[in-house]
Amino acid sequence: MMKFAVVKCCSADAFDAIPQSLVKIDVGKALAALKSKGWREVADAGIMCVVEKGGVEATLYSSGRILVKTAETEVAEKTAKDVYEAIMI
Amino acid sequence: MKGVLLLSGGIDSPIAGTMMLERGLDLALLHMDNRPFTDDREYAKLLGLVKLLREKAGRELEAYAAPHGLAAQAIVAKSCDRHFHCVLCRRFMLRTAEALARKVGADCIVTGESLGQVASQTLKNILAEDGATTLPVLRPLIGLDKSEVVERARKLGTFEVSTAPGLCCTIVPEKPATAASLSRILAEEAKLDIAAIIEAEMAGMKRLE
Repeated sequence: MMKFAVVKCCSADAFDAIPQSLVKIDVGKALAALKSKGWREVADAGIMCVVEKGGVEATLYSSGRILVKTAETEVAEKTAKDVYEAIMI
Repeated sequence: MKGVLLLSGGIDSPIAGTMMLERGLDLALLHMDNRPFTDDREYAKLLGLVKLLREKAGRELEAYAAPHGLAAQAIVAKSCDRHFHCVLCRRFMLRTAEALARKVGADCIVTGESLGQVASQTLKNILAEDGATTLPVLRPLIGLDKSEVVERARKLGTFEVSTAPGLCCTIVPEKPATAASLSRILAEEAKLDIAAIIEAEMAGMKRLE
């Protein structure tokens, strides 16, 4: 599975999950994969999408970066792991 | 005279509004709700700023929030050249502000922009934005430094609310255009159903108590 680092955003209750290698994601295909794994589509903006599961919102960018809206590191790490697993990278 | 103030959760727009209130302009407050590309805390900041502005005005300024994130931002991002996203976004804000102005009897739009403060606030971009509305756009902060705006915010008591934790716009392009030409912007907008987007923003607009 994708190795990634989780970094706290400085001015918000959110974390960035940053892939440790260069990736290019097809957001449309990733969104379809996420929905098939029980994630709810919040927004599809083409170059990024916002999904939600269990009350946690995650924004997936084509660069592989994931923004997780939570104040808790563990939740951010688990959410990012779940997203990367769902899209199989 | 009355204006529609585009009110974000940030430092600048409450000061712009206050300056115009002090000049005797009545205001209707309009927040372009950018969720899910921001977060709930950013929206909570907005509600705090509305309260402070009403206190400053000494009356219940009417306030509204329009669903900008889903109605406009997602569609623009999906359809248009990413470099021009910020200018296109601002043009939709101005259009919706104009639609609200027609509804509430306002004669102008007030914004908190100042020249060169961020990439979208260059003179060329501002010129490209202004073409989206037939109403005058008043920018009382245009020549102020950020430090001057911050000083005014501290005095007004909005600084603490504006700088509370909140998620900034997450759909901003990596390299936003700093010199957008109107012709290029119009070419991008030709890909969009502008009337439908404004209709969606107006239909989803809610009045804030």
